[in-house]
Amino acid sequence: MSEIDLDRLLIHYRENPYEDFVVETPNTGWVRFMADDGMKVEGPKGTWQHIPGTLLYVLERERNRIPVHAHINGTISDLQVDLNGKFVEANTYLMSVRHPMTKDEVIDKILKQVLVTFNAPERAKYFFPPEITYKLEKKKRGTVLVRPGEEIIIMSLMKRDTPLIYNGEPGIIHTVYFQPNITVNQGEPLLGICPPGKLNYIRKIVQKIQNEWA
Amino acid sequence: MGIDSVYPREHPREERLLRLLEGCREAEVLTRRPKWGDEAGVIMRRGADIGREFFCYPCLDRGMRQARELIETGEKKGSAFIAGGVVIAREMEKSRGRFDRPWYAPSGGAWLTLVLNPAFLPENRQFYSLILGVACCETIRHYGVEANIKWVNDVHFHGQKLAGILIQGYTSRTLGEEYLLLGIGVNVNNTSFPEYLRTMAISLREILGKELSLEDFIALLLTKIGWHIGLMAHFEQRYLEAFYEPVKPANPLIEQWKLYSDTPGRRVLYGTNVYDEPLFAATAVDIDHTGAIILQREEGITMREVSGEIIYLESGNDSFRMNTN
Repeated sequence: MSEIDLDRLLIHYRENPYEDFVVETPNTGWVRFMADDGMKVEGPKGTWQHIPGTLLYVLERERNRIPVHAHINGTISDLQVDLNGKFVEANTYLMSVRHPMTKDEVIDKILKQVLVTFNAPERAKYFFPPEITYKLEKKKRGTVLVRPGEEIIIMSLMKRDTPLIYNGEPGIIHTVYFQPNITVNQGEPLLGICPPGKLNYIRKIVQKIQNEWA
Repeated sequence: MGIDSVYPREHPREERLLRLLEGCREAEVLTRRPKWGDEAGVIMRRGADIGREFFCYPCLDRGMRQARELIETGEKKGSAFIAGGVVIAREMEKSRGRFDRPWYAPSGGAWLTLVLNPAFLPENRQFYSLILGVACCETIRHYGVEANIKWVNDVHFHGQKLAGILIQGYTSRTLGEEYLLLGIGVNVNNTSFPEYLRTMAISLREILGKELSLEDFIALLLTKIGWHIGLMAHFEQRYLEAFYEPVKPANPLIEQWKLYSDTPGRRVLYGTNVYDEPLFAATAVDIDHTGAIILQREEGITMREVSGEIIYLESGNDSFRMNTN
């Protein structure tokens, strides 16, 4: 776990309390924008994030229309208007969504730099095995220890359940980033693990941000 | 003490199954030839790993646990487990399904655990679930029973469950090899079900009114699994060859699944663990090219789910019947 220059990070986030999310095409196709530069957009809503966000653009390939919605709330910036109505390759940059960060998101972002994150290997749903669920329910937050070789999460995709083995250094489950009924994209963090000796350091970081972030 | 001394194996049964499997494969190629031509033989060979070795036991507690033991025992001796090996038990005493649900596995049923190395491209690994559903359904239909698939891979006959599938990934402790354990249970000749399953599960013997050769059934089932695994590998190759082409080949597995499934158009209850925590009711519209289910909710929202499970709702109301075997 790395030490961070917290003061410098806080100044940085205060000056620029935004995160820019890049929007690129998932595959080739004809692109038609449904949003304008500077427009405010909403991310998905609902209990299972099942209500799609604002429609950003439509990508059409072989009469197959793929509507692409915003994944997060924010403001459209840097819209590539010259691409409207054009045929584009996969991974073509179309626009950014400038998302204003909340205090909790700033805490999360900074903690991700100091915690060891355990990321989703595939786009799937994830849930804890019964013994970890039991420990998380019964023990105090920040006291459930995981060791290398332990099965800590079950990845579920099309009824194929794969126990994921923790291979990092022993640590405490500090943050759970996923919800059991919501699909997690590949590479997104599932858990933030903190080495036991660093727990106080993490708590100080959270406290400092809570106190100093307006 | 080695596990072979704890659970005695049935070697004559293993030899018989190997012989039957060979015959079934030859017959399968002949059956598929009108549609696939000379490629039928190539496809079948690609799935010929299935059933390379059998480990038959009169009784086990759990097939998955036994498969893991065999993997670890083999690896401790310095060799990885042979992909395509099959653990078969005449009966299982402590069998479990997903979310630790009990699975009733008395003598007379086909209780198998197939061990594979995940050979498909990572984005195609979800298709193992569909392959098993299609292969089970095809095998059952071979005996003249019009079974259907409920998404993802539950095989039923007029709502009564005939077959269930459990797939688990496993990383070996000894060598760190990646395996897929495919647990398959089919109610073939078993006719006694506990009271709570009486109306929910059914066996082929009950439907057909006669006993089937369990060995023949297992050999045919493994042949069908091998065929569809071979077909998927064949599709992957064609897909990669056409990677830069504007038109990509369609996945034949999806077409086959749709042929046997009665899910599209049904009112369903959906949930990650639907029996314990149902989330919402919806209409199952279709599955997409990845096998994900498309659900249409009353609010006009369309959802695409890559995971979870469904229960069919009775027509006219939103009640459901528990059905775990």
